Amino acid sequence: MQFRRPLLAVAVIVIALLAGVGQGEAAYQLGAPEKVLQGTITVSAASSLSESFVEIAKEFRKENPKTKVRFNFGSSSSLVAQIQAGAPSDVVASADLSNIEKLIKSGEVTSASYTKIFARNQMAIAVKPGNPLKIKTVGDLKNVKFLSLCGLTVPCGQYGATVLKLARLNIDESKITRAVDAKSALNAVTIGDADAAIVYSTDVLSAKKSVTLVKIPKAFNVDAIYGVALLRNSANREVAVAFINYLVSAKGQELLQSFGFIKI
Amino acid sequence: MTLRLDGSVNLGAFTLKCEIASENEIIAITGSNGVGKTTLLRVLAGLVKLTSGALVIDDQIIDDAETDEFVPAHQRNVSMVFQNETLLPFLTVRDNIAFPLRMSGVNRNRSHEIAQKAISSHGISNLANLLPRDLSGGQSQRVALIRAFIGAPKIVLLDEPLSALDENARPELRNFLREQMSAVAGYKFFVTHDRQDVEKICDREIHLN
Amino acid sequence: MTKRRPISRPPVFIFVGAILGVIYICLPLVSLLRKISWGSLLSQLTDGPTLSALRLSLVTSVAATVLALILGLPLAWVLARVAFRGSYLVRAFVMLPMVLPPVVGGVALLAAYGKSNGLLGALLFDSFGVQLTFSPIGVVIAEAFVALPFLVMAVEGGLRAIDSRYEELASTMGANEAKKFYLVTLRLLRPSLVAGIAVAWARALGEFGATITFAGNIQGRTQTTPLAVYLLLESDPQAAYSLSFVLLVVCVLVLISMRDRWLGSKR
Repeated sequence: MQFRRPLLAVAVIVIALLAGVGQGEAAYQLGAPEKVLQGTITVSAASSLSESFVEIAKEFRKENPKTKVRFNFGSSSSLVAQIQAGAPSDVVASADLSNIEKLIKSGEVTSASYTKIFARNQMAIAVKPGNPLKIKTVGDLKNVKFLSLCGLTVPCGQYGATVLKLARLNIDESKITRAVDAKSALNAVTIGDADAAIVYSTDVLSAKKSVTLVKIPKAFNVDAIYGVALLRNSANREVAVAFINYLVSAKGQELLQSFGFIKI
Repeated sequence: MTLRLDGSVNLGAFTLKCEIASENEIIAITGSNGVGKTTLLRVLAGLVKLTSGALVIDDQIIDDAETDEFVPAHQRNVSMVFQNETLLPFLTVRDNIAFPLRMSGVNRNRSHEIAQKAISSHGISNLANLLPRDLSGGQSQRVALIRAFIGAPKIVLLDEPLSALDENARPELRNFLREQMSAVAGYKFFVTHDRQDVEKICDREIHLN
Repeated sequence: MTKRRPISRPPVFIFVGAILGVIYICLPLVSLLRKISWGSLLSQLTDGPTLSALRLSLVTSVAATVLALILGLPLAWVLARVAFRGSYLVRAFVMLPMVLPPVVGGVALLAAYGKSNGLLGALLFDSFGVQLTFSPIGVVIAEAFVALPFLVMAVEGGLRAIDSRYEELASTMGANEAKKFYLVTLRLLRPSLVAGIAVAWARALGEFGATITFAGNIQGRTQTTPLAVYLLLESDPQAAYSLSFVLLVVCVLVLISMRDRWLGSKR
């Protein structure tokens, strides 16, 4: 579907980043007194970031004890809809760049300097523990009774569709159960009766023993590029910006990679 | 013809012990409130089981606490008029009167015929198609009493049927009751507080205490 | 009990509260109407996936209501008329699906009837090859699960409210148990039964969380109207509004047709 677009989006954002170099919040200029960060921020994040972000927030809090990070997890597209409808949030972290673009277009994201790529993810197949159906490749999915994917309007659903397209696999809609976000798509395998799911490899990794991971080769796989942005109506810009910077810092990146995300 | 009741009912709060032998007479049952008059009627109707003793009618065991024999209410040829809630609220007056006939197997048309005859002969044709909620208390009781005698019941149980009516209306219904009850060859029990009922209608009185 | 005569003028503070209540409920519904593009309403509703979602919802909600009746009537009868120890516990459990978050209900249904790990479901699959999840039957099971308590509550209440004297009266008039039940009890129960059926059906129709968790979201097989609306909200909001409108109209029609019978007593 829209996988030529990430390149364009990346270009847009890189240019924006370059243009933003040199601009910074007053508190970060040399010579300014070290301000103590405090307050609460709300971060709307894609559900595939649930485990990693909670961990990152813990570490962030250790470094900034007077701050608190509240999370609103959901599918990236539903988060965008909420933000556009006025839901109060300080930071948005999406599983693809097109959703960030939507917010730039509708004006909720205005600051190019705090719009960043912070992680990459790939898709993987989750099957029942022990892989009872012996699924080794994407092609084997055609033998599966029920496949769990995300809805086509959410990033993980689009990525899943791309994987199937790249593998030239056409699975009938009557065998696909569509979930509202990546986590529910995975749940269909862990606690439900779906035989396999195509979700982010980070999600499959977090599910640990309750599923078995089947790798998707690079030829059929996608590069899910995650973007984070500061929201215009943020009530606490300083903490929000600090969180965003933490994500792209060495520590943040290390934490993300420990959950299976790929270096940006 | 005899009706013999010698037993008791344990209703938790009190026990009713009774010994009645009856032969085709109209028996008044009197006593202060709560003493068990209604319970006695309910035992005779088959709505309450005896906890000891037996009820024998015409040498047929109707209710025996020792052997657990029990003839249920719908199989006793009984007709009962309560103090209130005495008509089925969703049936017209005519259908209410016809109900016992229908239950005993009379077909719809015939039972309506008989009911209509009774309605006309009592001059309440104007009420025939009304529902109980449109009737006054006195009118409901009249209808209930007409219904009580329609199926040739063997046991007639009346629980203060006239107490809802005002004094002026009672004499006429008393006559009606006496006529109807005398015509019944069976067992007739009449719970009442009104001395006039006892004197004008009943042959015998049983006073409970 | 003396019947209350309705008044025409309530006290002011009650009146204000009532008006606020009406606004609270009606405003979202009226606002929804504003969002609909009436011109494209018909074409949106006759779109393939939308039609199949509507059809599936209709069939499953009716089937679920029937299932709720089959299981709920006897249950309500026992709860209302049979005295047994622990009846309050049984009642509490039966009411649980009403207070449980629907997704939790769906997870519980999986634990019982799921083919992979379900207590009964695994048995059914291993012995007979029967899979209840991801099927329209699964949708019916999920919908009946959440609708049942509403039916039981209405019918139990209705049974308790029946004056036993009417039933006794019928007995003395010669009605045996069966006739008494059909001619008197059911007739007196009718308002509560109708209200119970309507509420149970409406609940089944609107069910989302348990359905998507237990029966999944397969277009044409298990994607009911509420699930379709949810997905449409992101891809085609206009179609979502139109579909919501249909659900709204259907429910309003059902509720209006119940009128005073909802109150449980005849007027």
